[in-house]
Amino acid sequence: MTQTLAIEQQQQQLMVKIKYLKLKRINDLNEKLRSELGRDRITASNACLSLINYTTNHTDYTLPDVWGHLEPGKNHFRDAVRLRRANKHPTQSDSAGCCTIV
Amino acid sequence: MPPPQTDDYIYSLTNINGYTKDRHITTANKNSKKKEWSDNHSPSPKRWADKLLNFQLNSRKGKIPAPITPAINSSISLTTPVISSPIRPDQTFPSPHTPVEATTPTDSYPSRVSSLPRPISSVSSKSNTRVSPINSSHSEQNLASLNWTPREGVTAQRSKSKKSFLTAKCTICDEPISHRSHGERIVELQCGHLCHQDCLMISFGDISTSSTNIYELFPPCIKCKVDKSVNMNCVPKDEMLKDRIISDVFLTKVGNVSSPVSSYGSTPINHSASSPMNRKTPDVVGQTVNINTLADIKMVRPATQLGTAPRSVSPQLLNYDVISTKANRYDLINQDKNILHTLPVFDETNIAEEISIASSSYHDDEARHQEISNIMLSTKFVSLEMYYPVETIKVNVVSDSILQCEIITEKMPKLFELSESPFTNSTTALQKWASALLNSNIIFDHEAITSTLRLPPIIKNMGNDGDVLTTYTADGSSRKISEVGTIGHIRGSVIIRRQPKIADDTNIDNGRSSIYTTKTSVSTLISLRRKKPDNLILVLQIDKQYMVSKDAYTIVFNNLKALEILFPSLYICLLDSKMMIQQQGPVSKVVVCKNDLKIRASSERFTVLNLKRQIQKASEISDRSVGIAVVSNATMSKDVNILFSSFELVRKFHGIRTNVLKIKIGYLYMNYTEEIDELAEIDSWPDMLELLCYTFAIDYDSDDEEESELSDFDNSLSITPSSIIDDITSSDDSILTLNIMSTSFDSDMPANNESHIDDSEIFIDDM
Amino acid sequence: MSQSYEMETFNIEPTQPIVPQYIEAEDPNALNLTTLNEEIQQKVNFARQETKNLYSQVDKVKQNLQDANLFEMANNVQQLNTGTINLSPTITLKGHNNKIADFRWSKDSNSILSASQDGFLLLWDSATGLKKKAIPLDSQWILSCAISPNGKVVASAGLNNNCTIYSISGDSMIQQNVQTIFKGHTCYISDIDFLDDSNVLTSSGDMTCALWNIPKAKRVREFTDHLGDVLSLVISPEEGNKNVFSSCGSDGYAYIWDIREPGAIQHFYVSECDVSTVQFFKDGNSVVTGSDDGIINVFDLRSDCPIASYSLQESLNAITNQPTYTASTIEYVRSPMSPKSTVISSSFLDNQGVTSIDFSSSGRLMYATYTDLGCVVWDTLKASVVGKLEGHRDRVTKVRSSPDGLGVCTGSWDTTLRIWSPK
Repeated sequence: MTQTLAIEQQQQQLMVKIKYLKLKRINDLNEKLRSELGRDRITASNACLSLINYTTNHTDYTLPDVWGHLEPGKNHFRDAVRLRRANKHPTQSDSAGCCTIV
Repeated sequence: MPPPQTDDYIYSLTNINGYTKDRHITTANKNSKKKEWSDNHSPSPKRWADKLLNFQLNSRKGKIPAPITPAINSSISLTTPVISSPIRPDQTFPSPHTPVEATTPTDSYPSRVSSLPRPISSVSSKSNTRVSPINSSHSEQNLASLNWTPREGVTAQRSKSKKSFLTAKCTICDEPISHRSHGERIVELQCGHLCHQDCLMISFGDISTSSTNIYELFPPCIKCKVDKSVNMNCVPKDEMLKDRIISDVFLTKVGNVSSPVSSYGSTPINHSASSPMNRKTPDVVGQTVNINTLADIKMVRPATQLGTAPRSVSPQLLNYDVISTKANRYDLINQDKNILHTLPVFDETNIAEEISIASSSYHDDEARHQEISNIMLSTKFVSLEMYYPVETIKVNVVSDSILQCEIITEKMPKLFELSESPFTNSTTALQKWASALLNSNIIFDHEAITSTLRLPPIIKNMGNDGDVLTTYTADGSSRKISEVGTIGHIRGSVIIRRQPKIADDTNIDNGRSSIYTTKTSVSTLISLRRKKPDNLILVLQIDKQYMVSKDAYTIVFNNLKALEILFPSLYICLLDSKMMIQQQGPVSKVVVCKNDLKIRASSERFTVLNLKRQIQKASEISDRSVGIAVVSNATMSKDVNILFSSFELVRKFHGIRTNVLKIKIGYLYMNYTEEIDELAEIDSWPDMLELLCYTFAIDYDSDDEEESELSDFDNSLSITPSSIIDDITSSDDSILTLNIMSTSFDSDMPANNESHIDDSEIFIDDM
Repeated sequence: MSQSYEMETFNIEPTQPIVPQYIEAEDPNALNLTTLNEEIQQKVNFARQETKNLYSQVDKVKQNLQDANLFEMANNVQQLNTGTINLSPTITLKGHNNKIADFRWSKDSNSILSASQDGFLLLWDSATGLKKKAIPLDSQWILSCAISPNGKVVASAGLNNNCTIYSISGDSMIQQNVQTIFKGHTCYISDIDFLDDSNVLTSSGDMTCALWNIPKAKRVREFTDHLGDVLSLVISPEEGNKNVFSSCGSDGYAYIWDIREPGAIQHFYVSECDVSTVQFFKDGNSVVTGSDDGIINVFDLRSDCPIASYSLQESLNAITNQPTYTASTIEYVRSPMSPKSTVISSSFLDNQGVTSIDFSSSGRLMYATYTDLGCVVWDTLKASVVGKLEGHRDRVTKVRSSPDGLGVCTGSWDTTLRIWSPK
């Protein structure tokens, strides 16, 4: 008899604890939302403009229309290849042939 | 056509040699495809590859080199990695409820040794149910040699290979799993359900009562019971996590067994993450004292005597100081009478006692070493044992509610008796007090005492705008914002501004109704700043009851005269504490000497309408803008305080633009923002002129057009004693590390009164 | 240089108080359990209401700031002429004998570290294609690799849940010099990167990201907000804030973290399906996510909202007409036999998950790899496909630009890596 009472009591206590956890979580969430609300923001249009600005202000040799071509000898990727090609001219072994897969 | 499997990149990465994912497989000719793949995937061995392979073979126990995986070998394939954490049958604690799949013999992850020859991953537990059909669609051979049917149900929980618990619910508390406190883990259970770690932790049964099988302690999974009517316990899927949780349970639940209510070890400390004390106290206490508590709450014994130190504290002063305490931590230390607010305050009778504690033992060392004070607060101690007695200190239990500390020094013994309020069973604070008192090395100075009062949720040091520096706090739940700041060049006085937090429906029009705007453009001190008006109207309510300093009238008078220099037609409306008009008219006529400020027979009650008429009469046509300053030091009662009056009527008339500023002399301990707008609180009369100067952009220095007036002003200023009441100013003029706590910040806590108990305690640092 | 990011106040294994004291210490015979219960319930209700209000307020604020998208704003920017992208293959890195799982550029762009499921890490000279180092791995089940900024240490991680740090400063060509093994993730590690020379970030299928310190040989921070497998992480570029990184996962969210803060500082809901890759834009002010529905989204951190979105479906026609650059020949090749350019059904494009994203040096071009479509080049400002990097004979798994902006590397299941560079 007392045992069942105790168990009941325990259950009840557990309920309260879980409730409290819920409360704590919601409060935490509210905290988070509040800090989110308080965050400094700029408008999307300004963000876009700054992105566009970046693309127009940084040199990019993949876009020859805009930035022209790299001076010969400035691209270390190319130079090494050129040297190698020159060295072993007859065998161009490392190009792998066109896609002929069906 | 197999369903799209673009999400399964894990599978695809582990699928070493098969190109089973190609969606064109089914349509293409199987044989030619296969041939082609092997072409693709087994480039003719180059020298480098050979070298690597050799190395690889030499460095390991020689196995058959198999750069290309043969058909699946079932014995090896069982050792493929499980993508989620491996589940092993538990040897030491066999769980009665371990699901079937948990017994999958997943050896340790495959090392290189075991992966030569390499298995293909289609048997890896995650993808097997889905992948096998695809395999079979193009390679019946594989399936035949596989001799292993995909186990149903392994991935039945989720259709995707990668898990997403975005919409899942906790099996214990039935809340969405995405609702969780900071840093809380989500625990995957063996039955496939999920729960919050905290939910799991508090749901554990009592260790002492249960049988030897630890698994029975795990709470039952409610989802399993409801959905499948299976009795499952919430056992974490992951071994490491499970072990850690079990040890955590042993660590935290042990108290329930060994002591009636809670021993120290089991008392969770609030704000553990942020408190530096959290790490230090247990050491000390563990070393020196072990305090057992009784569940019964004993009556509080009245205070036997107060020490010599306590000062007389009037209720008014107490109220007065609530905000000042909270406004500045350094002030708090400098002013012993403020310390009481860091103690839990429960009722009136306790206050005096606590003051005496504060002043006698905590204010400074002197007090501590000079008197014996027997101070009784409520407590409930049973016994106190000292394992490592400290020579100079004896701690006894006087009764079950009182702890007596005797400090023996060369001069004389000192006795402290400590207890805690009946409203809480928490002994944490008390134990810290006790252990701190036992530790003679501790000096109770400002470094040792910190507050564990929760910081307001939003606190921000505002930038230094010219000479204004402010600290901003807000509490969302009560929708209040407080701000404390100083105007840099003033001698460290503090101005407090409060704002109601954005209501949901305010300021929608411009779409910037965030705290952000409230912070930066509405509630800051900076926002007080206005253009210099052409004329100034001063509504001054003086309650002589609070004009305690004998110089107060002089100061007010001097201030008025100083203002008059720049606003020759300065208009004043002088009220008494009952809002009766004393004087009204231009300062030059009405206030001739300082005695004019003092109260005489009152004529009529103040109304804004009346003021408006008077102003209309008095104001000159040339005035384009008028500043109205409403200053009061009267009690905050709606009937008699001028600050509660609405000045809407005089906001705009005859094309004259007016600005209203309300100043309360003396800090408030409540947030009146709902009733009073544009209120600033300052400490005392000398600050009034500063605030007015600041607000209405009055600048005496740059006013070089009339030299004589300037010198006049200097003279008049020099009369003013600079600092008479120095309640709030700290010794350091540049203080601006302000911790604010207004009374409205506590609403998060469970019960209004009791919340103080839980939340506030004295922490003694550096123990 | 061993910077410590460990926070005194933040435990990576939080053992915070679970229940406030007044509950824990509640008198077992107290009658007020029920009242307490009600009291808390009431507070819960209040707090819920507040949550609702806060949500709507946050939504409102964000909504109001979202006044334009990138393409509208870039209307005046000159269109890129088709076929003028100056990228052509230089070399092919051959040597692995299984799928390339991951690869990284070294900070000086001179080396590439590649990880393959043949169980090796290889360090290549990115200009000559010569191998510099080979590191046999403990586990072939590798998913990610990384190389430290000073180039002395490399890391690998994968399905064995461990992250292994190897020192590569020795002379020998083939060496397995394990410095540390970071154990602690309970599920596979999907991505790793070096924060600096002594700190490594990992993202894992156990729903966490973690920060590991090499000198301390342990996990110093854990980032736990994800509710699904974390599939990718990226550290903010040097122009941005060095302490910031972003992660994305199968919960459909991308989170922005600050190493110094215990919780996420920002989050973006990307899509309902897995978000498999995330990348910072060059300036570090935006993150770009690629999800399994084949859509690339750009979120700006400062404005807290999406500003652009790229979908193959919408530029479907464009891609069939684009010239393709193949590795074998410099001339344009239409490959009518390839299902990619002929029988593109819309459902096929729909099901192309994005597997990796990177940008050209100006950020104008965005390279994106799709599950079965290879590496596609987007015009970032116009949302149009301007080219493809073709030549691999199997699925392309990753694409990464070199830090100096001159090279692009793609790795594939066909066991090779290819480097592309302007002429």
